[in-house]
Amino acid sequence: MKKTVLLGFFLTLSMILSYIESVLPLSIGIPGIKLGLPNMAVVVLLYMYGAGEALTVNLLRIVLSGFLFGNLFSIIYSVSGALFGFAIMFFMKKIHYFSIAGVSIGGGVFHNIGQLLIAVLLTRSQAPLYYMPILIAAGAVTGFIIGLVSVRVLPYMEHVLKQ
Amino acid sequence: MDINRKHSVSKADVIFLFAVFAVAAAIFLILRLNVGQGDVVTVSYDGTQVLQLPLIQEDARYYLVQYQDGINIKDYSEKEWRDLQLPDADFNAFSCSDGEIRMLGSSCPDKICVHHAAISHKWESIICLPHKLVIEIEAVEESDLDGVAY
Repeated sequence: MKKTVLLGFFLTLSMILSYIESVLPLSIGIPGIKLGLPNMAVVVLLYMYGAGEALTVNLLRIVLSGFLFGNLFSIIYSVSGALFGFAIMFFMKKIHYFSIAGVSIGGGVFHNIGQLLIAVLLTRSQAPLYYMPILIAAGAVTGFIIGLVSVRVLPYMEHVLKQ
Repeated sequence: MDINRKHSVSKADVIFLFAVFAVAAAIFLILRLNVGQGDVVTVSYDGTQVLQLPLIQEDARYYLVQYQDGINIKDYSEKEWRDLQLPDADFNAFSCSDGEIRMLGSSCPDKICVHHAAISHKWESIICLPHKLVIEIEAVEESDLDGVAY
């Protein structure tokens, strides 16, 4: 019961973060560079519960906020990025070599790589690949920031779980 | 012990961060070292080249891309453009002036292409994903090779 409530809470929270990100004008002229705020909920959930819970909440979040604040293309884009990012985070957590920040960096980087590859597929052009280096670097920075925040949030969540 | 280790940034994380930066920088440098002056603008739709135009033109030119019955592109002078009524149907509009390509408008839902910075260097591109439109800058030799490939 408590878990259901908490997962619902995280879904709501990540949708609010999605909304904030959709109105936040972080436009520096290069498409695809975002803070990835909703990813915070994913990283926290991944460490709080596990892969299934994190992935479920994230996919629900993408579909719901996609219909609310985005469009079909933003959903396709988000899902592909999310699945790529999630796969690498799952793997990096599994090998027990990196801590949360490292796992989050991997997520940020592969989220962007995934979206780029989908852009290549959809346009049938290699042109998007030109933005690979800047998107890798941006994904690392935002992933690191999200990781640092998650590191601070998790002790509180573990406290909530113990209650 | 486990909690403490988990809730801090480990050495492996920092090494990973710098490794990622190094990879990004390496790809960036490889791309940059190969960059010559771009001089041809290629417009592709769904992976097929539909228009080529010189990047450097005497006067500013404006292009309207429409998607009814396939794709068609018309170009306008600055004066003609000012009097032009943008269509209700799906479109992209871009300009080529002072060696720069700029997406002026689009009927797509996300407007990512419109927010894209103007492009002026070889291999840079503006992409409108919903419309499968790619505008990229190339050098002449290269676009000839592309022509052979098609």
